[in-house]
Amino acid sequence: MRVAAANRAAAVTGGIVPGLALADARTRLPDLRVVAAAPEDDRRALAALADGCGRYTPWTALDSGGLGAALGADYGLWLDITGCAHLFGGEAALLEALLRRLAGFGFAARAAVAETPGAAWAMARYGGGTGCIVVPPGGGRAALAALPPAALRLTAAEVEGLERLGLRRIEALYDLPRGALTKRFDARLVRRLDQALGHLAEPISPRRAVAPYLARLAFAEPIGGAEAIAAASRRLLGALEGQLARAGRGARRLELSLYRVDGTVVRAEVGTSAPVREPDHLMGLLGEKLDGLDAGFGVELITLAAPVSERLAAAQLDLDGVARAQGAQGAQRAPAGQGAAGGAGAGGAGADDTAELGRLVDRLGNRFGLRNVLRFAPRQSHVPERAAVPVEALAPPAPWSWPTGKARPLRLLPRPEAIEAVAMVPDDPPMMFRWRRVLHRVAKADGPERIAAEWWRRAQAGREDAVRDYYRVEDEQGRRFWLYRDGLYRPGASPHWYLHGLFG
Amino acid sequence: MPTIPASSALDRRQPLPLADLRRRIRALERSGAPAGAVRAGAVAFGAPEIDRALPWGGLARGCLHEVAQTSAAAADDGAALGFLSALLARLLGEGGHAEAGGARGAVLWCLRVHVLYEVGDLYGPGLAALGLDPERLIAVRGRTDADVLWAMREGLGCRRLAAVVGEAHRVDLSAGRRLQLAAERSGVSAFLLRPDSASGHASAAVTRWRVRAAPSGPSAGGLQAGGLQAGIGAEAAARRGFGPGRPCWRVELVRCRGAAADEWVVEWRHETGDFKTGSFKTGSFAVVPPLSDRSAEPAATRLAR
Repeated sequence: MRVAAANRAAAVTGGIVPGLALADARTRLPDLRVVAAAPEDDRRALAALADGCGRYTPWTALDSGGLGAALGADYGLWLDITGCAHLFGGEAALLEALLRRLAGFGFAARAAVAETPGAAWAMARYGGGTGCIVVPPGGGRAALAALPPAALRLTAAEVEGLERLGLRRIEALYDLPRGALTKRFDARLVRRLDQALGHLAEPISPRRAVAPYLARLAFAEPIGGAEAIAAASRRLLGALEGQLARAGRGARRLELSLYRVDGTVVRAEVGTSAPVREPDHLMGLLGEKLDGLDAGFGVELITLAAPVSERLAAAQLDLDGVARAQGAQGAQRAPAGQGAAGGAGAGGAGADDTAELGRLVDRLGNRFGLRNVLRFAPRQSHVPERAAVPVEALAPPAPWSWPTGKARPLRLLPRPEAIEAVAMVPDDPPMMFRWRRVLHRVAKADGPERIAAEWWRRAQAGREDAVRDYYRVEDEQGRRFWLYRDGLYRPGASPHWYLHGLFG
Repeated sequence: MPTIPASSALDRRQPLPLADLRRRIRALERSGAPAGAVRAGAVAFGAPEIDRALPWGGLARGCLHEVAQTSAAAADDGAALGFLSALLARLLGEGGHAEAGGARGAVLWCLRVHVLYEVGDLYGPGLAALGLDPERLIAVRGRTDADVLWAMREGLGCRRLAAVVGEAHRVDLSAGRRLQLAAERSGVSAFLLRPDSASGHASAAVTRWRVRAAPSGPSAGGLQAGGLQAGIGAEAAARRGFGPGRPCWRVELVRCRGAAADEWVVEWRHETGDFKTGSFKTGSFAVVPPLSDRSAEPAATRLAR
């Protein structure tokens, strides 16, 4: 067993460093307190920290590189603060605020700002000083010069190899011919050097996709009350509406993040069935979710992002100032409706109605999931299970119509249920059958209607003769059922009967 | 009002006072409701016997109605569902179908996911075959009865809808009352579809119907699937007689404000057609005499003919 991490007291008094055998460590400090490493928990804590850093920039990522990463000793976060620093009074002020904050939560941390991720990584870990370093633009090469090669995020073997050659500072690598370096080590070493110096781009994926439309509201004093949060959300919706309107877009998904004083983030998400940017509508959806959010000891910052958006044409105002259409899409969606009975405005009631239906679908969808608010659309298939498909509630109507000439049940069982049936002759409907333990005597029957599996799906059905002979039967009480006999008649084999649906 | 028979004789002799009385009683009964709650009128069944028996000359819009099946068994589910679907077809169909311009609204159909596993989902082709355009249904699936009622109340607030249907087991009086009030406010009709055993107690619904299947009359074209096939044994053909005819239900009006309880055997008559081209003609109910061979059934108290 080895030491994965040690606190500063242990490191200073006992010289205990990560990688040391546990037995050795105990010898050096007999009263050492040992806790089993929990890398998963560490990672989770780091992820929470990254989320908490969302207050500085929406672009955050976990750093998993570095020498000690394997031992879990070297954890870092990437923050891309391009265009964010001015909100905090400059880069140095941002770093100070960040470190102060982390120290407040009990984390020992170092931070550096540089033009490239590589340089920032190196300066944060090997830059010395108080650990709050801002590398000025263009100063990366000079800043890195005196650092050891390990600052380039190299493996232990590579560092050792460089040491053997007497290359103990990064500046020693600057003038070496690239070809020789690549030959002796790996392309990786040169790549790391180039990345640190900015000759080569280094793409890093953020932890969460950065929403293209985002509004934020910071508070001088933490807020906690539900009304205060609702009021803030309303303001943010207004700000977001402006952004979306300028871009001619409407939100399909909204994400409200509350940054709490304890450094954690709680989020609420709502989805809409059609692009929307109208604050009242969105507030109605968000309002339901706000109750479930725990503000904890207070909320310092609220952001509202629209990670998913779609084109939404500007609303056309009528002469009387009433918005005529929510969008071209919305207008085609529902059949042109007469004004609903008692609708408020006589003019433009049709479009208002469509928007109203959209609001209803959104409210239902946010409670039950948009998957559970649906419509049925016809599909051109003879196979009963495939003849109707669920589609989005506001999807445009299908281009073809429902077949109405055939007898079809009102409810189709989730899967056909086997029944015990007695039929006189093979091609005859059953005289009686037992379904769910109840015996039904058939009084009237109609059929058969032979439905075969589509030939291109027969292989899936598993059999060549995947045909069903459907009968519509009525029992003595008048209850109507849809039965079928599976497969073609084969002498000697007893047929299998199934019940597939209920008629009205 | 319960003493006035539904038969037409009295009606014809004194049409005016009776209508006047009915109107006054209605006004009294609904005094608490906002004026014009039934302004959208009523949906006629198309069967004069039933329409006359109901104080609104049909089924009032903007009210809560309850349709009960006789048992919770899945086999008995079809009749109530069929009757309700036919009612909705009439409700949507009044004034023509979607593209014909007159229709307004969709139907919100709320049910518990549980129902899907028990008796299956609504089946579009079947609804279409019955004359109800499936594309005008919006289905909502909740987990509990409370979810269903919540969705119904939400739906009743949306004037864009023509009707809201809920399949729920337990609906207490206050929940029903809330639905009724919401329906009155918006003019959207509400229907509860539930097993009879669950609706034994008091309810806020304006009308309550109990529906069970009834043997159909001789088939008269229209819905024939394959027809009798040639070459079937003579015995089988004789036993089979005709195939199942038009959908047929024994419909009991259990409770109705301002009308007597009554019972009919109704048949649903409709043409098939295409919803999109507007060639669709709304079907109508027709009261038919009960079949003579159903002797085991107790004689109906009063069957209008």
